[in-house]
Amino acid sequence: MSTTEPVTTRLSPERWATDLVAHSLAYGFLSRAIYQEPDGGLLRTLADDDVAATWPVEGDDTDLAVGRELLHGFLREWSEELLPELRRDYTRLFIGPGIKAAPWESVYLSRDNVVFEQQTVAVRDFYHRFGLQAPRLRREPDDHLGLELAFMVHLCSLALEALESEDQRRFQWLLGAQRTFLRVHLLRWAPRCLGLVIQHAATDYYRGVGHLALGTLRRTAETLGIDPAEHAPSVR
Amino acid sequence: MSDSGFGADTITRTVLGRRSFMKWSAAAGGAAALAGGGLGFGLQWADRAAAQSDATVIPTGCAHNCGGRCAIRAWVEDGRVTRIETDQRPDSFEDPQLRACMRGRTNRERLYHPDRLKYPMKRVGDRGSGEFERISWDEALDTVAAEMTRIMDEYGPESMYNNYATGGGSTMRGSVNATRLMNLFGGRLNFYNNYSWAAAQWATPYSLGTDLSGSSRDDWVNSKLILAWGFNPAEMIFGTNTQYYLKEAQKAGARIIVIDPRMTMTASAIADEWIPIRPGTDNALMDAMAYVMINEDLHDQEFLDTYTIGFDEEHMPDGIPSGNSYRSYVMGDGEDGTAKTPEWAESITMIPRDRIIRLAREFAMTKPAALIQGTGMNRRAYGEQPVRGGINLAAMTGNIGINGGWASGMGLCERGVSVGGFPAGENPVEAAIPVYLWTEAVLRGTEMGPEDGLVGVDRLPSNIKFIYNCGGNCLVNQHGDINKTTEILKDTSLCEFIVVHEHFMNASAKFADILLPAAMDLEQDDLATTWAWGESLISFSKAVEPLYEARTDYDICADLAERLGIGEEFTEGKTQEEWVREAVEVTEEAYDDFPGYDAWREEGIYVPTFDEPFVAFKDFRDDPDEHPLDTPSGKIEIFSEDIWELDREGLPAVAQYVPEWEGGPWDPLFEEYPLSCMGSHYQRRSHSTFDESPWLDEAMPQRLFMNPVDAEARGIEDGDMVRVFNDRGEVRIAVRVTPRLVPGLVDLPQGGWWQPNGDGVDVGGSVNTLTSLKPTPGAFGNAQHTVLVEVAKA
Repeated sequence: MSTTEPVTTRLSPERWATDLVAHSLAYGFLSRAIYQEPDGGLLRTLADDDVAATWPVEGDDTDLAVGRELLHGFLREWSEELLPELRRDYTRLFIGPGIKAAPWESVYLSRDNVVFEQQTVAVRDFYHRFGLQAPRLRREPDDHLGLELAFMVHLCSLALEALESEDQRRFQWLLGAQRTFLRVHLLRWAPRCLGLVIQHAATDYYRGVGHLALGTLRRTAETLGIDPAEHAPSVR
Repeated sequence: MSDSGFGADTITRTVLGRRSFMKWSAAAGGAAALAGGGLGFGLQWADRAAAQSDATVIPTGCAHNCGGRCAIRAWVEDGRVTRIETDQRPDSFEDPQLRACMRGRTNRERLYHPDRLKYPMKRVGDRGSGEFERISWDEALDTVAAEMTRIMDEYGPESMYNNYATGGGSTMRGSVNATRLMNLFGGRLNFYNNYSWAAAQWATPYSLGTDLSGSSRDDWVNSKLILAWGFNPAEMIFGTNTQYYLKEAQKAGARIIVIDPRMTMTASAIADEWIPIRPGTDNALMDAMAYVMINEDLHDQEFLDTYTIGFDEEHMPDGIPSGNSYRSYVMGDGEDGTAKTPEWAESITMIPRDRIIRLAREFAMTKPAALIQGTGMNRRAYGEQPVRGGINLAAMTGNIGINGGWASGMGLCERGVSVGGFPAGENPVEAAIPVYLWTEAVLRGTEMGPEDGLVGVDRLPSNIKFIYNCGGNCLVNQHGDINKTTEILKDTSLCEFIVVHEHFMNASAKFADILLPAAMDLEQDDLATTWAWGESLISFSKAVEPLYEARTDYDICADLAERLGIGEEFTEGKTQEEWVREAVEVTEEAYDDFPGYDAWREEGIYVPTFDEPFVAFKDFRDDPDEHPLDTPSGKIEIFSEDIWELDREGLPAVAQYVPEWEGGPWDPLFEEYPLSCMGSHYQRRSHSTFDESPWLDEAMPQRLFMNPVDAEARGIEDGDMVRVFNDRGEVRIAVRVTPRLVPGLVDLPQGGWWQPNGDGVDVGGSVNTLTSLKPTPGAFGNAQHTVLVEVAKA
């Protein structure tokens, strides 16, 4: 999209800071929920004190509302006894066998629908430009949804630092990087993957995570002035 | 997250409560993790030293149980296989390229398939439910080692079984590792036979003294006529380039006739003529051809007199009542008093009598001619019969031991490339069961005896209690009668523990208690020799590291050995690559032109040079007294006294047509299930391997093939979903209506992955949902092509 007004000046610095922190919190949680098998510690943290009654990213968005409700409802009933069921759900969704929502970008965007394709390398290069790399490099694909969301956390943090040090140029450049990463990577495939998560999850926890991730990505896109629909692959 | 400036304070004022912020921050991995972009658990600071590497081409191969061993060259960039190509050497008749087929070309898709098995798993639902949970390697291997120890202590080595597994075809493939591990650990119940050639390998030596009855394929150009009898290399490969040699023979002037119930790719793409035949009636055609030859005096009496026994009453072993020679049987002078005329055979085989006569004359009068048998026929109710029947015709025409001829029977070739192997170790257990009866040994092993083919002991001290299934799908999918097999396996009081190494969640993997992710060919150093036919030695170099937490079968078994206290015995201190190096020492010694280990690793392929084609039984033909066959008489035994003494139902001493159970109207089941069902080899798979490939599935979806005559009678149209069923089970699958197979026969290509729906109906289309566990009478081999079914619109 093109606009005469730099996106960075559309909001006040305070408002940007709020947004960036909120997004990094949201992506931090989503990333962990999607990249790691469920662990009791995280679930306990969430369940205690009714954390999920709020979601860091605000907005009038159906997915955010539905996701918050599902997650909140699930956590209200949380007990350790649910952990095996949650683990089974995670395994079916993201590990396989019979993988229901393969969490890797190239599975959706490459010609052959497999892992370790050009998309994987492009994501690896993107991380590398920011001094990062995926764990278990060359053994596990770099373009895992959880890792791409973790990378968003990193980009948010860097932008916040730039904001704090009043480095407008760098701040603008970092928002540009977020926009590029969303447009070239996340927005092109994550909605499809998250759709599968919502469709196949057996627990409200992962259904909730799916909706919240969808809604959060949409809110980020809006904040950065991207039309998400523009970047979804067209379905003929 | 900094506490100064805009950070947390701003947030807590404007959006979230402070408490909520702290909680979400903790949920997100803590403030420290947030600051580094989830570095606490996800991304890491980049290792600057990890520079990108240039593209390299790594020679490796595709080795599965199609019989092909083909060259694969993997283009690797920055630890990633970006493309696959196959043999790029110059192509010549003397040394043809070992080009991979479409299966081999999907190896990259196989490697990077999103649903590959990635981590060790333990079963969490009922056995067979397919519910698994990721565990650590330590937990997985500790569990397996503990169960192996417990079951060995409690039930003894005869309770330990390493299941037949040929998903891999390389020297270091999984099952060999499991064999070595179990042998060194104290032994295991042996099996004999295989799922491919049980009857053929059993029967051929009764006639010829060996199952190595084949010449080399470069001799086919010397044939004037080739009868490819149930022989279909264009689809099922049977050694890299086999169809190429067939085409070369044709170019050199051979007429090629395919005799097969299906118009196979070999029939449509290569053959000059296709003779469709009713399945299971091959011996009736053979017998009638013999009748025509005898009747018209076209047979080679001199050859028969010199080189065979049992053809006529003048050449029978002592003490056998008259009327038992092949000639007597054929001419109606035997016990049944029926002459095996072309008219007789027409009613059985559906081949017009005139066509039978012409075929008999052509085969008898064209010299030299080769009757090359496929082995599908040997996986039928009386699979021993066509194997020896083909040899009878080869002998009657004098085509044995000469260029351009072919002795028929099993047809494996003595000539191959010399190379060592990965030693399996000594198994202290003597007892062995026929491989097709392993489910019986789980169910009632201690009751089995010689009548079930048990050898080595009179009785087994234990049923099978532990199964190692390492890279194979015969635990469920490729074994017979899946519903019965899985019922046995589901009962954890019978077989108490099952460990499986696999790449994908196939039907067998579903029945694992511990399921281990195995590395693929592209992820390890290995070698492969051509299977059955061919002489090449292919080097497999590791192209990329094993993905996720997959490990090589060797490393897995070495770690288990360590836990079992036999680590040093298992590895002898060697890596997998060092075992490969050792195996090739044999090759270095055998051939002057072998380029040396390192050069071979780099080139990827070694093929020894041969001056001339190898002709099986040439020395016997040249001098039968000096080079007798390894049979009791030293001659070709058309009548086998050894078989006569076995005195088993359905196992005559001269090969002949035996009507099959589940074969036709004479079986009461025919009323309810009037269609014969076979499971052909499908181009998209090597048995059940590659069924996971979406590419190949799109090219060749799993379907039931059915003749229009049978479809019309049932109101079935091409593309309909149909039910294929008998008393053993039901498959639901789309139908392809085609005249490319005979009426009365349906074909459900073997190897489709069994997928029971909620009602136990198999919607994956494994033919073994329908097959029987009843063995053949001689070999106790699998008769999985003899099946009656009915088909109805779903």
